[in-house]
Amino acid sequence: MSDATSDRALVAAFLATREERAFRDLYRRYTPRLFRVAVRLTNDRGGVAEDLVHETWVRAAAGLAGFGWRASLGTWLTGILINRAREQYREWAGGARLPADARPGAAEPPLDVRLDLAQAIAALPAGYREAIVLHDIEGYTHEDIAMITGRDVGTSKSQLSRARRVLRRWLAPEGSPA
Amino acid sequence: MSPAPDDPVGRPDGSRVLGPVPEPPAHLERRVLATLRARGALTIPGGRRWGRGWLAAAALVAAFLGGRASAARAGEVPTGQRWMLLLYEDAGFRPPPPGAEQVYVEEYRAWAAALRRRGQLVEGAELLPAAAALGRGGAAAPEVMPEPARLTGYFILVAPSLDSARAIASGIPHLRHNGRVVIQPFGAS
Repeated sequence: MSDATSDRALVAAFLATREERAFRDLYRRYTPRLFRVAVRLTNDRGGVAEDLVHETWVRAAAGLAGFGWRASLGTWLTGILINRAREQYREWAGGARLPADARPGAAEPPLDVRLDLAQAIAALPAGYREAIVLHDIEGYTHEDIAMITGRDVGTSKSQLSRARRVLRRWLAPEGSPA
Repeated sequence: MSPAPDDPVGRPDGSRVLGPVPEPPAHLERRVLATLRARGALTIPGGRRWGRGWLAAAALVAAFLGGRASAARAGEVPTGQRWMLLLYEDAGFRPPPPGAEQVYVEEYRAWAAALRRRGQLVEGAELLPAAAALGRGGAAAPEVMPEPARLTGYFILVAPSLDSARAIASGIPHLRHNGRVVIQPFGAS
């Protein structure tokens, strides 16, 4: 049974019965991926990433009946996660608390702060960060990313290119050409 | 598009340079399931909705041990200032794992029985989901009100003061399971 067929079977089983067991099968199949993306997007391994995944599943459970399979289930779920993450960015931008070790979407970091790659990714503007995480780390195609993020393929490619350029500059050894 | 050879980010295995991300914590699954149960989005085999059966059983036992049955008999109803403990469940509530409902039932039963022996419990019961709601002017309103937590049960106590009611409420098992309790005084009757 292919992953796609299996996904359809699992979703159908869940929608038919709403049984916890059927939901748990879906949850366990996709949560590792969702959690990984949440951690990469936020550079947070604790509450923020968990909150994003939690809310993703709550929304997914409510919306599965209307899921039309125009994308794969994983792509659809990741799209929900991305949307929730964007809401979170807006809340942070509005002055809510920031995790101590993550500044998602922050402007260019101060020069005296030595960044590692994870910090640098978390500091990218949201669109760049999503492109890097989804394409370079998670291996999604630009077509997938377009469905997940609601942007077109060309935008996804240009954001990825810019994100790489910014990361190279931020991570270049001092004195080296960026 | 392939990354440039000197690109700092490897593809497709980003963990090569970023380090692995730990597995999702086990408590996250419990948290998601608890939220969905609390919202009535999950069932247990047989089609019954999750999230209330254990409290119904606990409250029923508590009611009979603690007051509802005996309160019907004249002279046994505790008198004094009454307080209602309103039991809420939100996303943080930890329901019993499947098969362990009886553990919770026993905790609530024991707590309620102790209050009854001290003459402090009037009654307790599960609150079922709202059957209907009326809005302003008596117009029908959505039955499910937007709320951060759901009211799932109550106990009525007798206690001479808020401090005393709070002290009693602090022992309720609901708090150990990360539920929330609101203490509501009764007005003069």
